[in-house]
Amino acid sequence: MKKDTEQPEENIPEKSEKSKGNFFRTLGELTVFTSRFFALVWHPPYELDELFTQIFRLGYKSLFLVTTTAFIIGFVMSLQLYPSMKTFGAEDLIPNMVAIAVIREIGPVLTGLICAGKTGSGIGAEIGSMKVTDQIDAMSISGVDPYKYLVVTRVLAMTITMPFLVIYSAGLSLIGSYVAVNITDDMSVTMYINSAFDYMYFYDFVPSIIKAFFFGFTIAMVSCFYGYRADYGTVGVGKAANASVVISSLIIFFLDMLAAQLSHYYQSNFV
Amino acid sequence: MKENVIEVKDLYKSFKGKVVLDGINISLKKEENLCIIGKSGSGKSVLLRSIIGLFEPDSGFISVFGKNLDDLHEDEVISLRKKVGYLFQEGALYDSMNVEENLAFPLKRQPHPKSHKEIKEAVRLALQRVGLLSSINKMPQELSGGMKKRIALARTLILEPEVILYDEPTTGLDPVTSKEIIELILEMRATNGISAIIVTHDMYCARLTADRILLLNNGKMDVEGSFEELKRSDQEWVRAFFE
Repeated sequence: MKKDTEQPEENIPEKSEKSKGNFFRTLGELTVFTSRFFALVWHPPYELDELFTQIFRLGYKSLFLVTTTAFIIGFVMSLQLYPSMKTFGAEDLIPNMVAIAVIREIGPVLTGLICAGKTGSGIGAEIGSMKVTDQIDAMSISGVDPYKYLVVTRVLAMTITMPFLVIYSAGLSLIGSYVAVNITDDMSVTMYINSAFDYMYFYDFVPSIIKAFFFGFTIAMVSCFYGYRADYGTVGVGKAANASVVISSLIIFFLDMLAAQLSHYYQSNFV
Repeated sequence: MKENVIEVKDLYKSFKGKVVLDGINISLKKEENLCIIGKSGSGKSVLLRSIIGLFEPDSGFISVFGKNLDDLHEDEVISLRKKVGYLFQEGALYDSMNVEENLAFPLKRQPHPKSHKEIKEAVRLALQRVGLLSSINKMPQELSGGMKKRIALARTLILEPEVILYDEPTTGLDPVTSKEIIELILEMRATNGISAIIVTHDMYCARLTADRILLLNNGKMDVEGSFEELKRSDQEWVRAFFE
């Protein structure tokens, strides 16, 4: 039988008074919540329609923001680097510097943060409002496991979509950089590509893609978790959306730091 | 004598030390309409949610169709819930789906789902029954409060429950719409023999629908009777509900 952690509407003031900030308790709840994903993801029904809907909603609908931001970042980086690099007569290295930066670091982190802001808040608010308006309970009562329908599909969709968004964002940043380079200088596309990828190796790409999977998983899981925990009322929905963005952004930075350490260790010892 | 479909014995539930249900005993017989009334915050909704297994009681016994909820695995609770419909106070329609998808949603996810054509037909019939077939393509946001409740009732009915738990079915509705909902509740019993527990503040609804009324006060349920009996009660606080 389902264990309830919720409280009735009658006790709302008590509930809001009680601090939910206990770090270890929240961490424990998040771990239990996440473990349900691995228990349920393998078992039918697979809710493929909802999965594809979410891939469209979470991935395709983030494209505009990712496109704009990634292009501008590549463009601005190149423009900012130009004066310093010119001092040393190293303008030709700008494409390579930008490529390394966007592929290894800025692409995944920037896309992760954009998705945490746009998609994470969306998921947190959507699931939070479903919770406070009893829609999640309604699913449960009609014999449907809401976790499977809402959480598993969104987490899978985000995990699948994120690597593609990261690759796309890196590509757009390089295009932005190419445009900027051609404002200050004259460089052909072939030359730019050759210069950009001159010092890049396979192991520069792999960590980015792996990071993207983890970022996607984290954003969706954390956002679903906070949505599921939403208090009663619109304030609770706002808090859920806010916590989704803040916590998933923090975890993205933490994972990025961990990935950088692992990547550095691998390159130092095995390459 | 008709058998009990729901039986609750010595049910206790508290939240953070505050006792909400303090030894509740109720039973619902087949084809009976049982009304539960009480002040706001007296734990009526908690009782309904405990019966459906959304809240786990601190102690006590809840039996639905002769099965003790405590002894059931979560899968068995889910399958038992299909026999017990629940009408939420605000309807709880899925915002992201239109009316047709809302009704088809539980049907598509049954262990042995009907064909696409059968589901469409079942949705059509359920909407016809609540008089809202014309709203089949509308989104919940386009519906009035009364329409939402009727659609929610149609979504509950589509799984052919044997018992429906109504949580404030007429709250916030105008008298005409309230009457329509009340008529639907009565029709459910007349045509399908559906038993019901109706939690309400609306004395008009209680008078028309209830075979028996229970009063929940301070977590206890000591007062029971028909509408007329309770109206003539010698306890002032009981009479206050009916004035």
